Amino acid sequence: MTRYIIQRLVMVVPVLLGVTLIAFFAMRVLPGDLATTQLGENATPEAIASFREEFRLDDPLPVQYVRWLGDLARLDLGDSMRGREQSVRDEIVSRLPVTFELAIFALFFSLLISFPAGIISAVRQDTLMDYAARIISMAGLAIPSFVIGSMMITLPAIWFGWIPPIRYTPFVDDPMKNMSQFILPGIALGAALAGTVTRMIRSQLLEVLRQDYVRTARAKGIAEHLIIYRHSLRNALIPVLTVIGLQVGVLLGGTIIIESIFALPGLGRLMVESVNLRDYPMVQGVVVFLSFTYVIVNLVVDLSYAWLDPRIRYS
Amino acid sequence: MKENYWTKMETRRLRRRGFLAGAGAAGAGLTTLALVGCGGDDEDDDSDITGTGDGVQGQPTTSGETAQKGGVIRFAHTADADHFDPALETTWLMNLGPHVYSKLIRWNGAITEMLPDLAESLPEQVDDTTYTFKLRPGLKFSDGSPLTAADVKFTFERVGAEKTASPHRYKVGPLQGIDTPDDNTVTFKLTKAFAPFVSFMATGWMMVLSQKWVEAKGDKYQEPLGSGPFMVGQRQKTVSTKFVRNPNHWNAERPYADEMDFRVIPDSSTVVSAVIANELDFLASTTDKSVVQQILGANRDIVDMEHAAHHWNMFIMNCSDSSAFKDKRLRQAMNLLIDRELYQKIVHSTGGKPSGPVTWGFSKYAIPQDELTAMPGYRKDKTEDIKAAKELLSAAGFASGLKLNTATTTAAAHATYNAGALALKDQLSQYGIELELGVTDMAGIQAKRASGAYDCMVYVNGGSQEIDEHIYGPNYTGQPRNVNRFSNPDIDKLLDKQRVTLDEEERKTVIREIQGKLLEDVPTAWLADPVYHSLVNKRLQGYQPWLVFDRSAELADAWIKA
Repeated sequence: MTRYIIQRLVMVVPVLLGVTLIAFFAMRVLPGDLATTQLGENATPEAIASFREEFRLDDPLPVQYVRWLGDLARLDLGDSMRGREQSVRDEIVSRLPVTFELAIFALFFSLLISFPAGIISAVRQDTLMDYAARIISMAGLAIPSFVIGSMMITLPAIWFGWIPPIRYTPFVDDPMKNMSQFILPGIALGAALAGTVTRMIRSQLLEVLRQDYVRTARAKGIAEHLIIYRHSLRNALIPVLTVIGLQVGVLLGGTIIIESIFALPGLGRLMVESVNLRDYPMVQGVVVFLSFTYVIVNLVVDLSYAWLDPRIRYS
Repeated sequence: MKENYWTKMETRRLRRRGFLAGAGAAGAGLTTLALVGCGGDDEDDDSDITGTGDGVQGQPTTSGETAQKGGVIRFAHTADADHFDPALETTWLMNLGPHVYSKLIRWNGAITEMLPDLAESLPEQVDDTTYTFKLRPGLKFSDGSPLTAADVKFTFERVGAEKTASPHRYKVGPLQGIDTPDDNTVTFKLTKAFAPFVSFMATGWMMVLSQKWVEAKGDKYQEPLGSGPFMVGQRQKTVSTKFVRNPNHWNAERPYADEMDFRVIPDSSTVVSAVIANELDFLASTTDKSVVQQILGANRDIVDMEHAAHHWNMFIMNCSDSSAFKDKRLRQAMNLLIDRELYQKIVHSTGGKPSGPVTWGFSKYAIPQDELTAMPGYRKDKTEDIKAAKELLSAAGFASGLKLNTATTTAAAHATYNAGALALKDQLSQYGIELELGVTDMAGIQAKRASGAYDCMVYVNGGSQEIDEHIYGPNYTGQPRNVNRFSNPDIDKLLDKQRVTLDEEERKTVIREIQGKLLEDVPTAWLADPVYHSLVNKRLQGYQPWLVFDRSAELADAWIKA
């Protein structure tokens, strides 16, 4: 197991290296830089040249890349180009709790809906409940999270003169107020995942329920709920868990829009702002951080297979 | 009866059609349809909110009642300022700066007169190049430290210094030096006459800073120290800023409100919803008719203020050697072919009017509408214009048409750019002129403007209260804002002349002459500019719409009706 973990961690290095390459050069391919966006239309050529010199934007790209990579190796993500002494790491650390909490809420709501819906749908196949669960899961998949989020803001405002809280309150300041802010964004973001997982659980469970050992369990007179929860669901969970792990990337991507709609100051919003302004160090830092998170989450998912199915051995 | 959730609900226009349309749209997952469907109730479905903007500039909301002190003014914007250093900022500090800083003098909200701020009165003009400001006695910054002439001198010498590289440097003019004979007197000495000087000093960015503070904090500092009506009480960058009354403000009668609550809400539809839900007190300057209808249809407590603004829509043509627009005949042909009335109808749902080189919203200097609409390119009957344009195209060698690299963006905050580009693409295609749209984001647009890697683009410029900002930078040879790379020595001479013409009437004549010349040489085809709508909650009284990007119409004069 330890060896497997080390092997996987070693594999993270080339993955992240690829990410750094893409993040660095993709930003440079985009037209414009912070000198033109930050200094305004009245900026003189001298002011622009001075700005570019300050941030060494005129150095050859490979030189800039290697310099950034060297800093990264020392866990130094650099400073933002937007303000004075604005560390990328500090900015990520300050925004991370928002995105993390949003992702947790989205995951929580999606699992809260998808597990019962998927199980009921499989156990009561081709009944009204099955059809309802399938339609709702399809809707969750089909409607983009930003549409759901926009409707959650717009329709209550028009109908009831009410909108969800749109001022972020940190958890440490007021835990209840903080959590109340994440309910609707969490639902909006988690809807697609709920749809995916519901369908996955249903199909996996249907397959497992048709296995010989389930028939044997029934023949032995084991209670149906034990057959479902103890003997079937656990075996059906491995592909479901894989999907959840892969969907973490979708969740993190979804925060970009949901954070804007609900005015949450998370990493997604930071990324959008930074891309729009061509704040290279900030975009690169956020991309590398999110990629690292994604890789680690999937490693944890892979390791959990052994817990779910003792037949699986990592050696 | 005490107001609660249910009583509030009753006051809303929850109508059958609106509800059903909203519900239907919700079912279909189409938010956009929901917005339209809920926009109006049955009786005002056919109402026309489009207007001309005549005579409605900057009228404050007021019910004729006496202003009251107290309360909280709540407003929002889609972006936050990166720092509080006005010398090095050009964008979103405008949402915050005018409340915490003072200027020597300021324009009133309607841009009809300049008012003293830190200065006791408008400056005394000693001669053509010398201006003396007398400061009010006993001025203080919000921390209680004295504000003296030395701070004023420091502020404007810093703006004018080359090493500061301030984007506002041109506003202090050809500054020779600043004298401070005593703590309350500041004398600006220019090397030559500069007509816009006093007006520029009254525009938004000329905020007076504390020398000690800036020297201690350095450039682009995050915490401000000002002498404005408010000071920053609590700030969560990119989330919200709470302003509280500055007890050391020179005017004990201002502000009326105890606090202001500024929120950063990146999504504009969320801002609209917050206005409807009485969470925000106003939505400033929209040109989207559906938004106006939606808000007015959903909340009876909102007042619609129609007004002009000093922003202008233009079709920029790259006059450099790298573009076909180097040929003046092609530019003239474009100017003649564009149907401004049609453009206005398609792009500005709230209505509008065609503009010359100075937008009609800046009526003091704009060519009068009756005169403008009789000019080639602006005439209602396009027959003659199209005929002349075809001859010009033929003479320039483009009789069979041409393709033009047109930069545009689909960024939601700049929807006009793409709507305008699409409208012109459609109009011009019938004459064989193909606008090839290259879509990018705003940073990409700015990069293209800076590099000149484009043939043309639809762009909207935001102007200030000073006419020089509208016509000098965009048209003078070699200026950073002259993104057309346009050069006409005759026009340069006139632009220089308006800067040294101190007599206002004479200056107006020169500016009118410049506009005539620009319409002959057409570096830009000026299009049509919209009527703006500011939607204000009735609880906020004395609100002045923002007619310029420099939001000098400060909220200190507005008050909350209990």
